[in-house]
Amino acid sequence: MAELARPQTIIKTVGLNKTYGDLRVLKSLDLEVPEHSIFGFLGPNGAGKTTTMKILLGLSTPTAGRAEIFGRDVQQDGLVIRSRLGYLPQHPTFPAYMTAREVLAFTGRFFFQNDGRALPSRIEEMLELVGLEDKADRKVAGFSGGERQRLGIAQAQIHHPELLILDEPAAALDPLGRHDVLSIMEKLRTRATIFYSTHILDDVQQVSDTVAILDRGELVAQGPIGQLLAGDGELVFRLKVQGPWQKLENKLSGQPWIAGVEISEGPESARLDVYVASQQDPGNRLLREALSIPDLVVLEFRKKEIELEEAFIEIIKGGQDG
Amino acid sequence: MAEKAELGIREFHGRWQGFQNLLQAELNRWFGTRRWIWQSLLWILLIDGMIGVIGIASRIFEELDPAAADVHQVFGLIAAFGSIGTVILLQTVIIREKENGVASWILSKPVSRGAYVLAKLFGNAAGVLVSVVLIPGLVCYPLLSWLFVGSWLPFGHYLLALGVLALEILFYVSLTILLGTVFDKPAPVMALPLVLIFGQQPLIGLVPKLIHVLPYTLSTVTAGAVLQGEAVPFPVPLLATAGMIGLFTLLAVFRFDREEF
Repeated sequence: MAELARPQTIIKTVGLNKTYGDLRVLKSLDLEVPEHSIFGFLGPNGAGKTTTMKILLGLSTPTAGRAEIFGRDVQQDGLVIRSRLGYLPQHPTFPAYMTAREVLAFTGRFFFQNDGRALPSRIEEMLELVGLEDKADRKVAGFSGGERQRLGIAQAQIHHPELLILDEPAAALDPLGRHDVLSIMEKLRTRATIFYSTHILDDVQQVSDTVAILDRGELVAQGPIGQLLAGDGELVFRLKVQGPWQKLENKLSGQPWIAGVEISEGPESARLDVYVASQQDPGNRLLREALSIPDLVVLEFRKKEIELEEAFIEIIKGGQDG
Repeated sequence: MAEKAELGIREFHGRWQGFQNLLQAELNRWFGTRRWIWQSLLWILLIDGMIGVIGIASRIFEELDPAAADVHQVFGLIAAFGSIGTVILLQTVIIREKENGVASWILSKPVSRGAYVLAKLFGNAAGVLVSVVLIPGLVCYPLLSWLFVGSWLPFGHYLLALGVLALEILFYVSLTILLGTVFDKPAPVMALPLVLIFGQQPLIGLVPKLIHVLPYTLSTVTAGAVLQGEAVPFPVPLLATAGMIGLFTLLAVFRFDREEF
């Protein structure tokens, strides 16, 4: 049997530490970002996400440990590494006296020699990608936060890098802008690895395939998003019912295949989260039990999916309690 | 594919990677806009206006003997104004970009930190030398000749004297850039060179040997001597100033290399 090719690791950190005075911002961070992944780097504010990115970009020096991108050390080979990646800062700021087109030309000239002929068409391509064609010749000093963010994505992409490092790419955007940014990220997935930090968990669930969660400088979880959402494999069903829900609760409590029932009572209905211990067709059994109770109306019945937000809170809380 | 070949990936120049592009941007900021024109007009008004007023007043009220006119002192005045102007103009050059994130954005590209500092130094030096020294200096030529000397000064000597003045201004350009890499607020970047500008004369009074090191004598003694075609009395300040410009530049690159963003 042919062995499947393993994805290459694009970013790797080993025992990365960063200390400012007495404050340990990063605590022995071991991170691995696979090639062509959209890697969500999550964590509450102050977790150390931006510091990690700055170390990867050579803007900050680690106190201990090392970081590699494309298999090269970020401290030793920073220039070569940065020629192959694009970066969007959390609050993108560009020289205020430049127009959007000038910002892109200025950025392009760091990567390309023959800027006289082909660069203008690349600039047009980027302006179109982020929807700034009509604002191309306006000074960036007058740009809104969202427009600056779009320009930030365009400049990060100007040389079609193999790796994009995006620091909170959608944080400053309205829902429509966020949707656009996520669409752009999806489009870029085929040709680049995207390593981005965020605290907007909906976005992560929408586009990421791999995530890492950082809390107070420590990596508390890392892996494919599906694995993270699967949790410990517990099966939970959610029922929304009207009528004598206590009867259902009593009936279920005595069953050996039920691990527990959580109830939240509303004014007109009740919501029951039923934790199932046995895996043998529990959905059908549970529904039959509910329908067998006279006067009980089942309004909703579904297998409960774990949301990233729940998993995130559980992991962060677990870390803090432990 | 053809587009990629046409664009051509830049070759790496190691320590100076990105310098050309950054310098071009700095020069554009001065000469691609009207900035240099406005700055030149401002310094013509301030420097040449003041010299014109002093010259006319001297002629009217003191019936100045042209032969006795102290061109040395006039050059000292031009240098003082030019130096102050330089410090004011350049106090935020690096600090502003460190603060607003433009510096870290630029350094996230394949750009060496040395290239960033040198582009700031050369680009702004060019802007300042043209707007604060060359153009006001050329406008000053007829004023100085006719209001203070009474005849045309030898133009070649005058240009050489402006060159000496430019060296003094470059001293303040490099010092301001260095301080911009050290501090995060503009106050000390402006205050320290201003203390030096105003404190040199009393300092030399206290420690006379400093006359060989500080740039003060460049405008007050050396430029005047060059202007009159005399042998330069103290060549050491010329060399010392050039050496300090080099030292400040190296220190600025060294310091900026260690900056944490």
